[in-house]
Amino acid sequence: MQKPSVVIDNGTGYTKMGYAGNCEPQYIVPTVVASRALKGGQEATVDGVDDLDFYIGNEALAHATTHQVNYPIRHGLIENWDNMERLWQRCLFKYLRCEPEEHHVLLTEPPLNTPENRELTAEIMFETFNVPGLYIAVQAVLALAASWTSKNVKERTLTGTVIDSGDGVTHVIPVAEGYVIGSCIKHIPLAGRDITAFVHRLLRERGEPVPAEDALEVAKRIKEMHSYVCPDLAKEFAKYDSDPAKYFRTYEGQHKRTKQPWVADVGYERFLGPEIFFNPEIFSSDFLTPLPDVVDESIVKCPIDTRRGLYKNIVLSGGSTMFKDFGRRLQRDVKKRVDARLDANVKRLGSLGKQAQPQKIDVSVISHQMQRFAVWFGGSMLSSTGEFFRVCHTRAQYEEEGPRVARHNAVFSAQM
Amino acid sequence: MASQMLKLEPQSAILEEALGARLIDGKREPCEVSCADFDDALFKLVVLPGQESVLTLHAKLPCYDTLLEHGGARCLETTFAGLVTQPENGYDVALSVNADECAAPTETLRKLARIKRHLVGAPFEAAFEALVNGTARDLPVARLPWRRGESAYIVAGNDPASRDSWDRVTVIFAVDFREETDKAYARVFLQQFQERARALGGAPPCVFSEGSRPPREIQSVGAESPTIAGYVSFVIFRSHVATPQKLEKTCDLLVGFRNYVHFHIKAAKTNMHMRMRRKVASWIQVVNRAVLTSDKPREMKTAGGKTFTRK
Repeated sequence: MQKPSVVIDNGTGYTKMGYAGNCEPQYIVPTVVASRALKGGQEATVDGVDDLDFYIGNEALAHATTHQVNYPIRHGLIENWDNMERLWQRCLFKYLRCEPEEHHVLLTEPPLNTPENRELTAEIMFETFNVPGLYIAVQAVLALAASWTSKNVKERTLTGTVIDSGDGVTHVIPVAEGYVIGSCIKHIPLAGRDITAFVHRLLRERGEPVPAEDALEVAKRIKEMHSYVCPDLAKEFAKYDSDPAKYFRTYEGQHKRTKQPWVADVGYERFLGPEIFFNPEIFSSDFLTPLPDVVDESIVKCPIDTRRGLYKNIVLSGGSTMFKDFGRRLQRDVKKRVDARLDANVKRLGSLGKQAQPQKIDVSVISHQMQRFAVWFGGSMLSSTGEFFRVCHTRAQYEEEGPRVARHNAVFSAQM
Repeated sequence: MASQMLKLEPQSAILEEALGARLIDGKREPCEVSCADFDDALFKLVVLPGQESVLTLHAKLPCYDTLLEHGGARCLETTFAGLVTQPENGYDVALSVNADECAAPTETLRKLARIKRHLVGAPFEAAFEALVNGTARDLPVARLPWRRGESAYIVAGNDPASRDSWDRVTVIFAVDFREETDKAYARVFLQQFQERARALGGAPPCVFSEGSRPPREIQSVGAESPTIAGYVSFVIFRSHVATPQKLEKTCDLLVGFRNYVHFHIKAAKTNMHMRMRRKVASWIQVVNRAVLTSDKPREMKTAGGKTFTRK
């Protein structure tokens, strides 16, 4: 029986890991390593068990007072290779309990990762852990693959626009036939953390009786439990004002110290929170382009023969795309922009436009069950197929060629 | 330093979490979780839709048939009494529990999460119980081929001075690694391990022998290939397993010994690589500093704007 592959998705904030073939990652831990500080910048004499005196994940945060805490990944890229190697070591042995010699490993990388980074990753995996096979997949491509589970998807294509919104930042990444179009990637500095901050601000301004020390946590819970995306801001306000009893919710809690129970109303923030993606001016004063416009701009920058495919398959990934009706609103707004542009172009052509009616552009946003861990799930799905073992970099290849095997990708037979 | 970092737990945390959510916290959702464990073990937890309270755990364990012969069968009858069912194709054993009717959920959870420890540890437990009860004389020499090219041996033994004392059980692990580098690390690690163990008072005596010179105890049942990294023997006396707690702990440690060595070797390699990286960084600094400068006098400017020549 083939041993299940190990899938590790190292994100900036959280590491998702588990065995291939499962629907959910087995562990989600913060990507943190806490180790002993070096004495005077010099390594301590290694005698005994210093090499094991470090923690990862939640344990690392718990030992922040005695150890030095470090986030080895910044903006998606690995910066501290020492700590990354330690992190992988713990992930494999302590959490997944697998012998790395026996299991193929799938790791993920952000778009625009450097080939040098890929080489270093391969070096660690093959030299330290002696894995039999390694595949390094691009996160956006895995997110596309994860969307195949949606019932709206008829053909399994690797062309599409991935909207990846986690805690820190939102990316719009166009992918054509599995290739990331690097020059057209757009970033939006608004994501989950900002929605929480906005909900927090609304609660505070209204003077809800939430204890100050819990306020951020409560805002996060409200965001996760009650928020949704509305079709029209003005109408939604009117709806709430005409029948508050129907739409207002309450959030009950207990003061941590005094044990006094408290009750807060949850009102407009239910739809205002996620609205910052569509009307960023209500929250931020330095970033003002709505998400649908950014998506459209990004696709318009892409090569012309890929654009229809990119509009047809807009895929959501990450926890901050989980709001109810997020996909529907995005689809409507992008469609509105695209149609307006098409009509304007036809009008500009005058009588010519009547002779050759252009085909309507099909815009569709795919939502699915696995959005939260889309990248991990895509990895889990792909690495449980037989095809995966064919495209992995194998140990024999590594021994023959060295770390540069990681520059080659067998799926696309391309050298990077 | 906390010792929890050094050891690997005997239970599978993935199983513990998935089972705990259902046995203790009352979650009722269908699921299928498959995961692996050290020593070629594979687990699959299945909860079928429609009967969400029935949890079935399929397990594939190393050298299962040999385990059954040496105490595994008894372990299934006692520890897992009433839980054993038909395993799926490709698995060796299956345990099934109904979360609604489970009388002692905490205990059952512990048992199921430690399934590998219980079954793989069964031969050790059987041998140590015989040692405590004074029936060690009847113990057959057991060879558990639990990994490719690596076995564990359990041999009852005597004090060299008094021939019929049967006061000890020797547990011998044949340890090997596929990579030559790992093999070398293992040899050094185990030699050091032996030195350290000697310095500890109550610890079982531990002897490392090279792969080409297998210990005499196992010659009757056949040694492994002479190219393996080596053999480690632990001599367990009655005092090490006198109480049920001690016996439990001894078994935990012995079952996890091979993984413990593996874990440490990888940690040592990581540490070595960290030092190599640091060395490279400092050499690059040296190289950068060694830029040739010309010896001609240079004209320099002070902050005030005056010029002077540096010779």
